[in-house]
Amino acid sequence: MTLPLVLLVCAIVMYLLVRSLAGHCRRSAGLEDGELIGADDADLGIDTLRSDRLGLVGRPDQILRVGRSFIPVEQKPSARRLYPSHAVQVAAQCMLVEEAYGVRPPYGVVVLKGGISERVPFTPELERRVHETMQEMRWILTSEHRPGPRWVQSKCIPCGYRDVCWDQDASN
Amino acid sequence: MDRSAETPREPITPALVLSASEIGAYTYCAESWVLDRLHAPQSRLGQRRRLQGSLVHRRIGSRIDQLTVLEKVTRLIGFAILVLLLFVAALLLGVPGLPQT
Repeated sequence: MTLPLVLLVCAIVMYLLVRSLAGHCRRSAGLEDGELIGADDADLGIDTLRSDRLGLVGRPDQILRVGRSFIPVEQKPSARRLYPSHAVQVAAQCMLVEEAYGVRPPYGVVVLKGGISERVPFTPELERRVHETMQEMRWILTSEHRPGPRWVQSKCIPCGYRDVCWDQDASN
Repeated sequence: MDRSAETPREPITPALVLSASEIGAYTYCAESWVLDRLHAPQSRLGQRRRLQGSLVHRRIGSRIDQLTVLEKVTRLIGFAILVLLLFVAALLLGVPGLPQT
């Protein structure tokens, strides 16, 4: 009787320890509760999602299954706050996830610096914005119109194309 | 939601297929997205930032690997606890064929 009891106690202690480590790992990756069904740059892997109807491709960093929903997760480890560009990107992934799994995700997740996760509700307005953005982009590609540079200090100073867009005098 | 208005009427050629990350990049800065598409040369700092970004993503990937292993081990230990509980219960109830307590 003693041996099974000792084994049981050891198993319970190990269970609590491993579970707490897993929880820490999950929190540091900014992942909410839910089953991880795909992950880029990991052994789990993830397929590129494609929609011929939309002319759109994408690969979320992770996909979680929460209840009946599939939630795309985008990691932005250097961002301190959520930008509109993050919201449209994760919304485009929501559109792809909806096409691939046949269930509309109620939201997508953007994980910021320090594992802080932000939910982006996948609203019809946001979806419309993605469609409008895609139309604009395709118009640029077909018309060969160039949007032209627009000086935004916080974006232009760290940008790798700064020298292409601006000479040194313009940025000072 | 009416999808007909959102589906492009003309077929999309491969050159017009967009990626979700491109849509984000265009929203952040349209000009840098065009330069990316044109494979314009980036400054060394820009290249380094891009490389750092992919390294950070890989680090997140290995954290995800750790997580999947830990979650599998958690499930396995949970199952072992269940088996042990049943065994201890059987011992306490004096199920025939098991050593007596």
